[in-house]
Amino acid sequence: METLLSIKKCSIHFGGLAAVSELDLELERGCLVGMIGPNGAGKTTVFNLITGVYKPSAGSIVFEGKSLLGLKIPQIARLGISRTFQNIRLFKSLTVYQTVQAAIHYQAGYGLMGATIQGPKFHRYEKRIDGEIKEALDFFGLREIMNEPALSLPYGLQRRVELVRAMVSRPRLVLLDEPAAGMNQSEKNQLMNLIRRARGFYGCGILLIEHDMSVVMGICERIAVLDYGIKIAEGSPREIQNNPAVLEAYLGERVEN
Amino acid sequence: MIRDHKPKAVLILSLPVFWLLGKLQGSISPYYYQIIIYIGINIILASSLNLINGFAGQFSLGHAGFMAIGAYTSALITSLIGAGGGLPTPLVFLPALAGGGAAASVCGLLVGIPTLRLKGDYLAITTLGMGEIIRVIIQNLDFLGGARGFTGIAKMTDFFWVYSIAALLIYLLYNLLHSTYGIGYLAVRDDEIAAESAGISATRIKVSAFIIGAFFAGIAGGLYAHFVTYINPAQFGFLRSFEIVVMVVIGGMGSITGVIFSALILTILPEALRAVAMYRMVIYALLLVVIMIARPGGLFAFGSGRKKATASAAR
Amino acid sequence: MSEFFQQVINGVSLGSIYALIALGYTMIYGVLGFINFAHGDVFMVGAFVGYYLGPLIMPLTGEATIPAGLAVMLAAMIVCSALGVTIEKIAYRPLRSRPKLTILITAIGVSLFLEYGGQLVFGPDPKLFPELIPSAAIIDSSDLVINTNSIIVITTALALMLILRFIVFGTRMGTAIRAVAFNHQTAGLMGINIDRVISLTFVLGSSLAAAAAILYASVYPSINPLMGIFPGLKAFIAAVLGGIGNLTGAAIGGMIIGLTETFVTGYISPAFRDAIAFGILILILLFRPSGILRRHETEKV
Repeated sequence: METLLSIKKCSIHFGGLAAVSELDLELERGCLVGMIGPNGAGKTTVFNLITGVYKPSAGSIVFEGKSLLGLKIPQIARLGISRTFQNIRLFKSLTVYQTVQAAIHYQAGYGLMGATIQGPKFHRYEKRIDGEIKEALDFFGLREIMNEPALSLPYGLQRRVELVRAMVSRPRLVLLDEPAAGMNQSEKNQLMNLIRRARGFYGCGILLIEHDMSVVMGICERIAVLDYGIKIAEGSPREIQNNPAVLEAYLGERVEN
Repeated sequence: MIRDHKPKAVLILSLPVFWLLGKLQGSISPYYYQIIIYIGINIILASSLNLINGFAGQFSLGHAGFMAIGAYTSALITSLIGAGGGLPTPLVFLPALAGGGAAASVCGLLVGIPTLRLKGDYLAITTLGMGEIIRVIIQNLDFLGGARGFTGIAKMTDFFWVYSIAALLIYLLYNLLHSTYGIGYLAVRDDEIAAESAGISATRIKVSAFIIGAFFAGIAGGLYAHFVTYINPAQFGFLRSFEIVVMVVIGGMGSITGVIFSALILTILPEALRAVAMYRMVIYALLLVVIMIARPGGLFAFGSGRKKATASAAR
Repeated sequence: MSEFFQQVINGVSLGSIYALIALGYTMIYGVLGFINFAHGDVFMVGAFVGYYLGPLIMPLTGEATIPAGLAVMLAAMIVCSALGVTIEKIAYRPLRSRPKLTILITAIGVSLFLEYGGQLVFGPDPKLFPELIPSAAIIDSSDLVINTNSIIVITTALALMLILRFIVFGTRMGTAIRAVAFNHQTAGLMGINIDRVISLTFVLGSSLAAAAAILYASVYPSINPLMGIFPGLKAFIAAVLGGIGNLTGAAIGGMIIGLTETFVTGYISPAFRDAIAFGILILILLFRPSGILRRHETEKV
């Protein structure tokens, strides 16, 4: 199995408090890994570390053999890592189509000159891009509403738009931050299905943060558990379910098996 | 993006039309002619600022500074070249304008890079300060005439020059907005972190917006200088920057047609109010406040602009 | 040496005035989150209140006495508070949920309205401010002249700042202001009447601006409708220098700007009077935008 992402002994401190402490995590190509833990355990912080929003105080993060330390956010994204956000961050004034289009911006293939002059090369590239956007929209079932302002959509569809935005650029690693938050059960089932299919179609690895156990246990092949910034357990869903340390972290007291 | 030949056709057709209209200059009164020229120059100024403020979302309150640099640089160039005499106007004017634009865009670079990390009010104040500093520097340069101003500039600007450049700028902006590359600007404007996480380099977007915006502001400055034939630093102060900002905001930030309309109206309005000259600025200020409260999305945001305003209101 | 001391006194005097105005900027920014461009013009109105009311009050209190100054100052504070609250209610309150640029433009619009309106109402030419406070030289040697003016300015400003400090940190209303400055939503949930708190903030800020105006006009007696532009801008820069939203910072920033301006114009050249402040501004915003005493504002991802 090829290693996609390798995090070793990674820590970050915010004014004396260790938000993440000596984290070790390895992801292979095409994996589907879940990250769970009580609120404030540092899960989103890990995402921020990977994507370059934060710089770790110690440790290393290597993606496909290349160190991510010191790289800027767009640089990391262009290497093939994309993400969604805990509190959906869509583009305030863009339509669904344009939102997805933004994620392909860096793969446009032409620059400012091309965009303003618009010669034949531009039109060829735009046609290709248009095709890719529509293909992604079709896959996620958003084609009919592609010209609606993204923010006018119901919450569940907004989350889906964020998902498409994260996938359309064919990244090799996708970080999903609580994708099922605020959904009802049928929406969650749809989502799980979508994630599985997307992984198969795009061939990307997925690391997801989730609080909903049905989702986590339902699709994750492996689960890492964080508590107070430390990884307290890692393993298959069954192993995690029966792990006393995990139960203690969530319930805060010793539980007899 | 389906191949849309319309904009290119419109641009190419407009050039001979403008040339013809330019020939009619003699038949209208100098007063109306002047207003028409000012409208064109303001369209260039407002549209170039629209790229910075409306497209890329950077509050820039120092646009008049770029205009000033373009004005003075181009005036210098024509007074140096043109002095020889005998060269046809376009051969002198074009390099002069381009030189003015280039100098202004260097300035745009110098403003855009340090301000990358600033947001909102801070960015506004910094650009305001930078605009003022440019003005003060010019004021203290004696070879440019200092506070007394630069006189004797050749009158080369006419209808054709102004409006074909305006048309070109609009064409470029329209194309940019309707391209995948251009969407990057709007994305950075709407949510910089989400945009960067999707691989868009906010740095490149912001700096390029400043460079291009400043370039055309510089050209507008050159056009202005070669129309009024006398320039001094006081003409390029904060009030001028503010007037341009108002045009962009009232036109609807990011709306190409909206900004054109508002440049038109806001150039005519002071003239129309000339009758009540004393109350002119007070009325202007009052109207401004009223419009901001009543229609902050812009008065003229048709089509795409309107959709944007509604979308953000839906939040 | 005594010239140096003279400059220090002048600098502290000017700095106190800037500090008073800066406090207004910083309070409004703390509570509403935007730069009130019109603040400098409220300052200007204060000066004109003093100009018109001075001759009316002085027959009662005596010419150029401390009671005269205090009475006029109080009157100016009342008028300016009313003005500030009105502006907030009409122009800023409807825009509270709108994007920042809108309210910024509106503030500039209000500022222009006051400036040009002032030119219409008061007339554009400069007027001579009446002598409200005693201006006698208490130390008068060949190169050092210390005027009671300066002493009064400094002590009055200090007193006002201490009163403000007491209000903000020692009263319930003050705590409410700090709560709203910290977080609108939570403060509202705690039962605080946001509108009332904001109005109070404008009362405090505008009063200080009015007081500053009376003091300023007593030292520089030429007043005109555009007089608020530069002091306003410099006071704003002082607020940013000290860390916008931070009261102590505003006071410190005011002092720094006042002293720097005095020393630069005194020892280097008067031509740089206004440019200095801009230079300081650019330096801060590029290297330490949160100011000397910062107020942490990080964006949560």
